[in-house]
Amino acid sequence: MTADDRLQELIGLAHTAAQPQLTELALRERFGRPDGWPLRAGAVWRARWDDIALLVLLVGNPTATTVAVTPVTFDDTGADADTLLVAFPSGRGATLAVWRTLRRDLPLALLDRPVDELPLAVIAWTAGGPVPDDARLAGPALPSVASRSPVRADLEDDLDALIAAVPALRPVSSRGAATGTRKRVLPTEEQFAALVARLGVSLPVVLDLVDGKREPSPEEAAALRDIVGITPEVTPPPAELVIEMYHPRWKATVLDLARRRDMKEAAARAVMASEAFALAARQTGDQSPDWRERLARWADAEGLGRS
Amino acid sequence: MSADDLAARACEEVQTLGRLDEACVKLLCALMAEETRRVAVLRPPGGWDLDEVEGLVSEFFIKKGQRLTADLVMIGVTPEVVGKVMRRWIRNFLIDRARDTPLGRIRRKLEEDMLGQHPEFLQVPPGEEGAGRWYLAGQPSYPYGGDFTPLIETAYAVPGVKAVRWSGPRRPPLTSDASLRAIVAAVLTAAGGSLEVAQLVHVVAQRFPAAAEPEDVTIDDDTFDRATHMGSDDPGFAFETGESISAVLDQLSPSQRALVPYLDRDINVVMEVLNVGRSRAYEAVRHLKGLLDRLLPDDETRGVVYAAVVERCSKT
Repeated sequence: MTADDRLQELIGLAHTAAQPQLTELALRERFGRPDGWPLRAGAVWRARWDDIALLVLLVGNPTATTVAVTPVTFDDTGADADTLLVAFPSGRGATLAVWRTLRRDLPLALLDRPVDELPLAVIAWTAGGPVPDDARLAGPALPSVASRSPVRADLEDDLDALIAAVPALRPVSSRGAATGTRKRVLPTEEQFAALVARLGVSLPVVLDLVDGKREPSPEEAAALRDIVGITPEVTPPPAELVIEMYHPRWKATVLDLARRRDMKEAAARAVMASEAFALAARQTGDQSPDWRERLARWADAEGLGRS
Repeated sequence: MSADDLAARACEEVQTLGRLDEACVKLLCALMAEETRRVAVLRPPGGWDLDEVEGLVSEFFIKKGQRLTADLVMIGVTPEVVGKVMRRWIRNFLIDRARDTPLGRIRRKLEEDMLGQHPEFLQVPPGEEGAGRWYLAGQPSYPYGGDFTPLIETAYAVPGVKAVRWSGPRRPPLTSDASLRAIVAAVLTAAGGSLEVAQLVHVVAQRFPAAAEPEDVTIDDDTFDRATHMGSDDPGFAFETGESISAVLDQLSPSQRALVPYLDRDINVVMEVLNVGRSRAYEAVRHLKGLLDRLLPDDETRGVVYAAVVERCSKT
């Protein structure tokens, strides 16, 4: 048997394990638009941030910004009586391991898309209930010192990294943000003209920068320093806007923005919040805007993808 | 193609096809080749070659392919995630395999049934020197840094230790829990400090050398039956059997016992008995002779015990 024969044999094995019903396209068809997504206990979601991704089971209903989850994996190496093996309804022959001792409150901003739902009896088990009829414990109860599952160790690391990755919310109300109580930069007419010329943008864009309504890019910051002498203090977007952006319905838009502008997710979120905020400030003086609608309008104007 | 390019293509495969294809399989083989180097106990006698690695990949895929595929399709959203997730699956698979090795089983026995189960064994807490090591209650907890010979001698000196009779066709014998507990306590006392689990495994493996032998893959069950049948035709020697004879016999696997009567025969006979080639026959004989050398008593009864073991094995 040649090396190519062996490779083809392995590829043949790989084909027999196909899971086409789990592709992005298939999930989109199954779960439809974000308004219908199961953001509730029992749903299994993909959580991700930059280069960390894992599956989580929602074990409680969400608050405005967080939801209680316990991770689930397809790998159950070293699992013991604190891990439940349940059938994965959409996976062909695959079982899911539910790790109840790793329960965490995750920021909603980590949730990417729903992938399945598990029976509520599984949620009850994570809270100390009985083993559901169609599930089984992954192994015997072991003394804590012997609990050396490499899967558990990786999950702990990933969960900690995910939680730490999401920028903390800055509590600024809409009113505080809109009244502009922060120190402002006041360029002369010549400086405005110089900024427009150097950056190659329109005056409203320069005004947003000068007013600190969005984070300047490195190039913009350099232009402001050179021409005006200082970089204006950026007004943080209102908490209501940031909270709205925590909702998983905006994850695809944020990731599309990050991909297009070649930036990390945290930076893309900051840009999206500040640009949507700046756009809203130009369009109306409403003190309690509908941020969901404003974000949708901004995303459409940018031609960004929606879930 | 660079590893990054391979990972990027692998990511595209799982996301668009919902399965692994050529790039994923190549990445899997590359990662398997890397990870096998980390697991010394799995290293084949001749080292790893392409055939061995691809054999492992096949085994891995048969056991884990469906779940790995589901995992990668669900969470393999970037090339970095695909590479990381695949590497973790492989590593966990190899860890499982290593745990099935004799040393892995001794380690599990110590971790799951001894340390943490008995109040006299204490673990050095995080932040202290030797954190994670084990020591005996009432003894110092700083790390032991001395020679292992006195610890092994202490392990041998614990009285009343009996080897457990072979309980299955493939599991190596160790000893009773009570004996092992006494040995671990004695070793930690002799150390006068704390030991890593791996150090305890080393000492226990030296105390029960047969338990630390790799699986006897030279002789399969059919060959064992054939060999024992041939052996039953040989004339035996009658010797009175004592404790040491039983101790040796108890620690030999069934297939090793089958080979004992042929150890001093011409290699062609061994080749015929085992139905293997010359080098594997030599390897099997060398392996078993080395094991017997460590198991047989080191006194004037050595020759008598050896002859009795041969006789017993001939009648098995």
